[in-house]
Amino acid sequence: MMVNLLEIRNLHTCYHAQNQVVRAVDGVDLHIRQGDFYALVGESGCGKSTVARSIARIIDPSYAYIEQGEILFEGNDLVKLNPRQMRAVRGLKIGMVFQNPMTSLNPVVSIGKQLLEAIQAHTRLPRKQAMDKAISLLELVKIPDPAQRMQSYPHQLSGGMQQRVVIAIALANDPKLLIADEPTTALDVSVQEQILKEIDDIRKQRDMSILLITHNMGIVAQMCNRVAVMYGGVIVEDGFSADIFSEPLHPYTQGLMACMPSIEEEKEELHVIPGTVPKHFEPGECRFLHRCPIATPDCGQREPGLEEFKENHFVRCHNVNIRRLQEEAR
Amino acid sequence: MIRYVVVRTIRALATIWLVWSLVFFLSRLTGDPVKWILGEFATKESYETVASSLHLDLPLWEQYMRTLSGLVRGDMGMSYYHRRPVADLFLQRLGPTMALQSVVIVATSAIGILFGVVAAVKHDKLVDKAIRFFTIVGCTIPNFVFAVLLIFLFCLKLKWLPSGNIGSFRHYVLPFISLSIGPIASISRLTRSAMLDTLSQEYIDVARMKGISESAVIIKHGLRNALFPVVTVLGGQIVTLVGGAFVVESVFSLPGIGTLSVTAAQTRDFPLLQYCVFIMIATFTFVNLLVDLSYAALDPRIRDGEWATN
Repeated sequence: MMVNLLEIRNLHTCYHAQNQVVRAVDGVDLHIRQGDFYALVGESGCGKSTVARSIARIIDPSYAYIEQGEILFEGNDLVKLNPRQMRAVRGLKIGMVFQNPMTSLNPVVSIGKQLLEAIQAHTRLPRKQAMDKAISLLELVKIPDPAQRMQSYPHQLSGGMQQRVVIAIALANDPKLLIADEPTTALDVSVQEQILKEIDDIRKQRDMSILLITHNMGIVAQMCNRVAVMYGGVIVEDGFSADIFSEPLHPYTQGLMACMPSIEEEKEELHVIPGTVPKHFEPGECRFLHRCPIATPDCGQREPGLEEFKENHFVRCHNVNIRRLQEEAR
Repeated sequence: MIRYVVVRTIRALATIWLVWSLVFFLSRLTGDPVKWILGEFATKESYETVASSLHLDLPLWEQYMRTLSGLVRGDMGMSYYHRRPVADLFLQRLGPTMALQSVVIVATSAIGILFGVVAAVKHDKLVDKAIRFFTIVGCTIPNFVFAVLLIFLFCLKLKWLPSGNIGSFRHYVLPFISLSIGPIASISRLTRSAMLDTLSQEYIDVARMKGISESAVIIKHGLRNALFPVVTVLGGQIVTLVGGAFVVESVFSLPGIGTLSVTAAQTRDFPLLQYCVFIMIATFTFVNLLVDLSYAALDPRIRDGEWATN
């Protein structure tokens, strides 16, 4: 029995702008076990980054707040921690990598200093040892000539190298959980794969868990053992990636899969899910109603819940659940 | 890097020469100093004697060459009225101006940056709104209006502070306030927007995710990057400050460089005026040069020549 490293229960995170409240995350439950490579998938604006930022509590307090819910990390609720306690978690237990490596490093501070700062935030190592540790971290993320690179400034490195430095910073104190918010979206494809492979190797070595935020189903299929698909602030499908890729249940998940280009099949055009994520959802109807190819009148009457279709495979869709009931009845 | 320093220095010297020349010719458009010295009833002979003793009978270009070579040799000439070297007169009046300006420059940058940082960190909170209100007031009302209002309130009504001249530090309070409000307002406004911009950068989140204290995030990662535009404007602020000092010194009849230059211009005392202007441009240019060079010291991207070409 594996223990849950992170367990999110009924998380609601809101943004308020011009007297309007937008629930970017509207009741998300998910759990990540130790060693999981967990993917949170969905298109832009579905709330997946907000989930990531809520976990680390780096949402901007001037317009965003966690309305309700629990984020249990090693059994402690992160939502209840005061800023000082939260700082002790950041960097030490949870590391985070962001989308844009070109703006993720302070342009006027050397790579070495930025790494040392991460190391020394949680441990009182003598300078010499901290330096050695920083160099070994650069080695870990496969940066050539790590000792020389310590004196470099961010602009002297390529985007891929900069992202490696950011990863080294995130890994500086051996965190239990690495949150990677679209870490390779800004990089070119060949580098994307390399970097993700390297992160995956480190995960295996350290028995670390990774929460990968992405919209790239191809990456998920290759790397991740578990997937949650988000749409409109809620999770619409959740399960092991083997199950989800062999039998995607939710029409949205099916749409995302169809968007993947494939080498085997000759396609004239890539599949497109019609429409965009609406800004606002009518209460009491399915969130995917207006873009759904299999919607029935019932979908406008009540909102579906996340139900277990098969063991460990959850889906939020009336039609799929009706199918399950029919199959069971047979 | 050396090339950068050399280029900037040459450019600074050229600026000084150009502005000084401009003042040389412009001041000669104001009229004839000899008439001013001798008054209405001067005879033709006395006029010629005075004009030739001041070399004002020479063609303009020759006057220019003489003065310029004097400038290069370090001989700045004599005042037309006081018959004393202009440098002496200048030094005599330097004290009050320096006392006022140095306090104003240090205090305005410190207070302005502090206000800006606080406003950015407390974005949209009450403190931010209060600071924003203050900056709008400070930026729109000119310093001489403040000066007059302050005199009215503190000298005439409350009788707390003297309205002019020098003596104790109390004489400097009102000139200091009227000179500082504008620069504090504009520096804090600029710092605020620069800070808001840097605080929204991803490296701020990366820094926060290291688990370091919020003040370290704001100062080491936020302010350090936000200061670049602020430093540029600080250099420019010093220029406006000295300009403002001319007016404010006059309002408070403070015997400093400002009032000296104004009198020199009024009485067509060309050598004195040229000297005052020369020292001021030299100071500004030097300050701006330091600002440029400090970029290179502060920003590794400029050291590497990435942005060095403007």
